[in-house]
Amino acid sequence: MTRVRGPVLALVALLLAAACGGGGGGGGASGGGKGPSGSIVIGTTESLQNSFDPAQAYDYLGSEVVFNTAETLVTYEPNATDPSPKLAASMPDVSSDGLIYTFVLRAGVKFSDGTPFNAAAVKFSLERARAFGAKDPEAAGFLLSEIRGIAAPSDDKVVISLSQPDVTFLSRLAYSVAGIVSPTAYANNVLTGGEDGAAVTARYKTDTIVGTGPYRIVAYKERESIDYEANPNYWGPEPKTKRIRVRLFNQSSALKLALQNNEVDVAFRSLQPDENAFFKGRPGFTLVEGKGSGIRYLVINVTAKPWDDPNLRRALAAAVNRKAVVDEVFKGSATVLASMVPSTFPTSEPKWEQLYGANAPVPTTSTRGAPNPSGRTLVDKYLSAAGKPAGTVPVELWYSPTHYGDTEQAVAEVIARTLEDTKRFTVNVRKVEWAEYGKKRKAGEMPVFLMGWFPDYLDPDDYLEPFADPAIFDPAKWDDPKMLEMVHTEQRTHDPDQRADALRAAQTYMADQVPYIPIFQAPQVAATSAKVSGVILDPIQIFRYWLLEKH
Amino acid sequence: MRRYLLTRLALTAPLLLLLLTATFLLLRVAPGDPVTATLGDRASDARVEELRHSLGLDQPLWRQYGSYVGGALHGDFGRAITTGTPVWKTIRERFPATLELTMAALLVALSVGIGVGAASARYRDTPLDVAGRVLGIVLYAAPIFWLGILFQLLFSVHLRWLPTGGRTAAFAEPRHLTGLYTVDATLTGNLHGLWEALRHLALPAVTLGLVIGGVLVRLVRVNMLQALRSDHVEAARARGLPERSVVLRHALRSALVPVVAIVGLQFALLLSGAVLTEHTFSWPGIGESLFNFLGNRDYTAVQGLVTFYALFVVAVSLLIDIVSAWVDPRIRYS
Repeated sequence: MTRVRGPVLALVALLLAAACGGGGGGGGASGGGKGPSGSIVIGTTESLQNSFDPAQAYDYLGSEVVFNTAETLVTYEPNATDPSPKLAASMPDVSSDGLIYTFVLRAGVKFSDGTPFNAAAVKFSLERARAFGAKDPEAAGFLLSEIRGIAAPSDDKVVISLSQPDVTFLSRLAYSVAGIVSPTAYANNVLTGGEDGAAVTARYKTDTIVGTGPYRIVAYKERESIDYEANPNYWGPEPKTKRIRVRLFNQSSALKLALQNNEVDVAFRSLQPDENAFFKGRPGFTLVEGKGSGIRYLVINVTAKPWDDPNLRRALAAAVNRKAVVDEVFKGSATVLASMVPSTFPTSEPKWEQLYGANAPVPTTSTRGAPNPSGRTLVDKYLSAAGKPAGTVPVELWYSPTHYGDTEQAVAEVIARTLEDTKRFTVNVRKVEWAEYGKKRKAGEMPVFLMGWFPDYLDPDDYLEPFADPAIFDPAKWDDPKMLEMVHTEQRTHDPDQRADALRAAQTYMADQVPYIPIFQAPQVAATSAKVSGVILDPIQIFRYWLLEKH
Repeated sequence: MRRYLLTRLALTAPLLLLLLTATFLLLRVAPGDPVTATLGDRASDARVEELRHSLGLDQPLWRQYGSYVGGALHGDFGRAITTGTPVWKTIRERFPATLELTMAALLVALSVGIGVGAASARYRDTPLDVAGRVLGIVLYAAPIFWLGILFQLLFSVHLRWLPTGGRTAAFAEPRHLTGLYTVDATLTGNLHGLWEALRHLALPAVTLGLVIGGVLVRLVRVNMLQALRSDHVEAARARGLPERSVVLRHALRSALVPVVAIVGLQFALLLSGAVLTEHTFSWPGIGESLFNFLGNRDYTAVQGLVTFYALFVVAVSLLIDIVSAWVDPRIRYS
């Protein structure tokens, strides 16, 4: 025994020395020297759905990677509601018919691989993403489908022509799909025309990205972590922190413990409401709250009997108590949603609240009469109009227990209870895992179900078109040509006032037909170590790593 | 010995086939669809059908089964449906983490099982024995995730001694040689890396090791009691050997022979326990991957990982059986 004691004791002593001495771990920003320093660990329960390729990434984490490593011609500065130039030197000249956008590009920009950024790179990147979009409708490339042609008449000028006017075009150009990538690095990752199916997806560059952004990826471990380092070729202000690690957690409770134990510096997307509340006011931690742009809503399958009757859908809308969901499940941290277009936008029209809220006017048979404070009377009136003057209507309410977080069951149960409180509905709450949920939705097997929406680009249009156009989403199987025409009208209307009217009219029509019932809007919340500053959570939902700093 | 070895190998083949079949069928009986999970919620029906076709999921079950077993026989586990990553790549990247965890847990299990079991037997019917037996039962009955969370709260959150999860601190990974962080850090002389790897390994290994150790406590105790009553131990005592030497050199040694065989069986339990341990401690091993792939009904990935698990367990069991048979001739003659 004594023979091994010596080396063991020596090893223990060395380890203790290592423990006391620290070392190159994830320390804070320290040391002088040139360039950014320090490191920050961000924990998240998000997972990567596809890849880091801007042409494919269409999930939150994929887009976040793109936003921090690549840049777009225009972007949203923190808390801005309109895009401003980024890789473009100024906002584009737009032709009077709204079809031609001419951009002058910023000079002196390089990709993280050292190659120069120029008009050819813009043309390459946008055409590449658009080509993928044409072949792979699940990728984000479809957002650029209105581009008819791209010309690069000189190194610093790009001319983009559209097939039809679209006032949301600049917002779409600010989304990650329009991230500009190095043509050199992506030379082999383009479609040559003949690919289909799996051959298309095989062409994406999935595990790294070469853009002009403030960071570059140095390591990626699937479902484990993504490591970033400040891009040495970055043209703009240096990021505050040299190294960022994004740690991927499988459950929010593990993320909460890691933050509590200082193993991560930031916990973002998503701790549960009670876990976030734990850090509120706790010494050593900060809770940063910002307006979110994601919405939660009920879908009514309008092709399923008896929900093809608008009056029955209206009765359901009148019976749902959104405030109870917000108060009971989210302890007031969420916001009641009164329209599918959230109140972040000035053109949000709270029609669902006006038509079906507690203070909504009671309809006579088909029109509306004197105000009535009781939601129940409103429910009765609509049910009468639907030919159900007495008795209860059975509702099969579906939800998916994990995809939207651990609160989903409580959300479904509170909705069910508030419906049954009216004494006019009996609710059968049913659940199924997310993998099966999508299948059931498409097959029309769920008459009423909970869903969520996180916008692709910051424009009210992105809360209307996908819900009206079956080619994009339309989970209610609504497929209403009148609604689609109203959407196309607002998309083509350049005058801001006229467009606002068109957007409001579309919301009003949607509220009247009730294929969807908006429920609530959850805020964005990040729990951080008190040492971390620079967390900005705005509706555009770009988590800007380059502003993060650890003191 | 040769005949025993051949018989043992011959039994392995049907065992593996049975496991492959069960995995294949169970996955298809379970609700959910990997194609929906892959394409997301907004995929068109045409695209869904196209992917189903390209993955062969529109083929009759027997044909899918044939190509799965055929692939497995050739060592081709395919690509994960939901991520597109080759299953072998996942195994290559993540198996070292699982191996490191299971080996460390085995050390803990053996230390606890042999230490507590032997002490219980040596001090039979004393409070120490009662405590040892109760500990064995409690550890065996304790759910891994419960014990893990308890340890996280105690040692990480309250005492702040150890991290709650992960394999090492951010940016403290040792240079990659074997993928076993403790080994790599030692080989490269990276003391800080070794320290962090050990700190991160401690809680998951102890959690998993204790649960498995609970089984061994009872086994070692029973064997040890028999050994302490055996003739050769009595003879050792009669020769006037010190009690310490009698217990450690004579009784314990003979009590451990059946334990070796049981450890082989426990290894399967250890690996299945590793799935839950890895999930609880965000330990990036194969078990954690398996958990995620199961959630997405990723047939290819789950089949590949389970087959790999099975091969590994069968190989270890075979090895231990051979070692046992070599050590103890009674086994091969029975």
